[in-house]
Amino acid sequence: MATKGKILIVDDDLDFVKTTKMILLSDGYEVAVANDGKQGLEKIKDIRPDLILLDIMMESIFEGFSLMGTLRTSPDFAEFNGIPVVMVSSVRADTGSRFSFSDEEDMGDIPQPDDYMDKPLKPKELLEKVAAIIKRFS
Amino acid sequence: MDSPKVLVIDDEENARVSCLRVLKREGIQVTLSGSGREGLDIMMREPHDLVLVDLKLTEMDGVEVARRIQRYDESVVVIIITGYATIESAVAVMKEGAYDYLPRPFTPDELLIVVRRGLEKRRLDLESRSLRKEKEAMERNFITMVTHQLRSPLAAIFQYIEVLLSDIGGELSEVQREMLERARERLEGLLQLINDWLDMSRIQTGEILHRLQPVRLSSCVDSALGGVELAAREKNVRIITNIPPDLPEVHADTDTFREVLSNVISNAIKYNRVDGSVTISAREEPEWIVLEVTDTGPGIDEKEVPFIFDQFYRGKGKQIRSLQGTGLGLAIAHKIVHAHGGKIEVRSQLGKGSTFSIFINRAAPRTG
Repeated sequence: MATKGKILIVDDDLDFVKTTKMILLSDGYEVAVANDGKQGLEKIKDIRPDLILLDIMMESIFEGFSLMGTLRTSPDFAEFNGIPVVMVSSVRADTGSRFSFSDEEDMGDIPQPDDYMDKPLKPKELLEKVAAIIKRFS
Repeated sequence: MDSPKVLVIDDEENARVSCLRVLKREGIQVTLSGSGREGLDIMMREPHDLVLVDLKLTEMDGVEVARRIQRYDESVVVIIITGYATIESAVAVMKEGAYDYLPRPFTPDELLIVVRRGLEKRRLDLESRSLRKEKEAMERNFITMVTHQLRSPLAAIFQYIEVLLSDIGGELSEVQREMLERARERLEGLLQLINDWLDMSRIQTGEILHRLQPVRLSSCVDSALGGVELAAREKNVRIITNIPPDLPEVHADTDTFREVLSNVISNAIKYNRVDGSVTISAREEPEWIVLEVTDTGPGIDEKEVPFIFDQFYRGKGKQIRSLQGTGLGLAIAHKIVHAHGGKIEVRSQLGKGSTFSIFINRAAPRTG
């Protein structure tokens, strides 16, 4: 049977990548990994994932956001810009409600991801969310 | 600082040229100007580190030039050149922000001493200014960075445990499972501590004041209850809410005020007996709207009451110590309520339970 979908993990924390990959593989997804934003963009073109799990804080706080920006707005990525992105961070992602990013104005024009998740990812929650989003976007 | 730039403003050409000669030998870049107005134009186009200006200029005098330069950039060092007779006015100019003055006639050495000292001051000013900027930027990023540094490794560990516990890494024995579950519990406690500490440091009390708006108390209570239902069910604690439907709105910042309620209510459930109850009621007083949360828990020793809103304070009772807690929940509640201009108090009786009362301002009635 074909896989349930291709997921690209973009994160520089190898432990996180390893466990997340295990969770996704256990449920029948195909998984690709990129360790920084640049590699992430290359992989997007190479494998055309069905969903991207993107760490907000790679090298710098903005590496994740910059990948988001390129993916959504660059003409180079026109044919990929509909791929759903779930942003993952160990800084609480519920920032939207209670404590937003310290400089909200700074975040102004950056395209928003399709969903957020907090690290640590719980296997069940991750798999539910991934399945729901892939279904919504297919 | 690369080679420093000095602007000399003097209407006597000889004076300008001799300054130029002396300063150039020191590797200083010198610009000359014959009038105050022209000198100011030069400053606008090309900032200089130090300005030597003659007090007695025909068109615009040195005092005015000094004042305008200072207004434009107060870190520029201004030195006034003056004749013997006008030392007093030079002192007056220094009150306007000039850094030093140089009485005429002066020797090349005297000129150099004053200029070197002025440039040194400028260098230190610039340095401290950039340090200050750096420090402010660091403070802004501090909380985000610290959280990231603390949470990242914990999140990685946590996720390993989660994966193992869901049998993705292979089947576990009962003993292994138990140990991992215990490890997960401890980690959860640690993550909670970091979150609470973060909340504590992120609460900008001044900002809360700006976000106050009319809010229905019952909707705050409802949303706080949403987060504690599970805990109440697990312990079979009954939650009774009794908020009059005609209660006036309160003046609150929804997000932080909800945090207060959820901290107080979740405490009332956590430090309660199995099959106990939590009663949430509200009433109107002349000055305040009062919300009370009453539990059927072990109660708080009178001696401990003064401390329970302190950071990291935890009750001494055995029952309380057996439960995980960070000692920050009530401190956060206290800080937020005070930032609202309200207060929080507790009444308690050992063995019977506690009542937490939150006093908060009513909102001005809506117009229109």
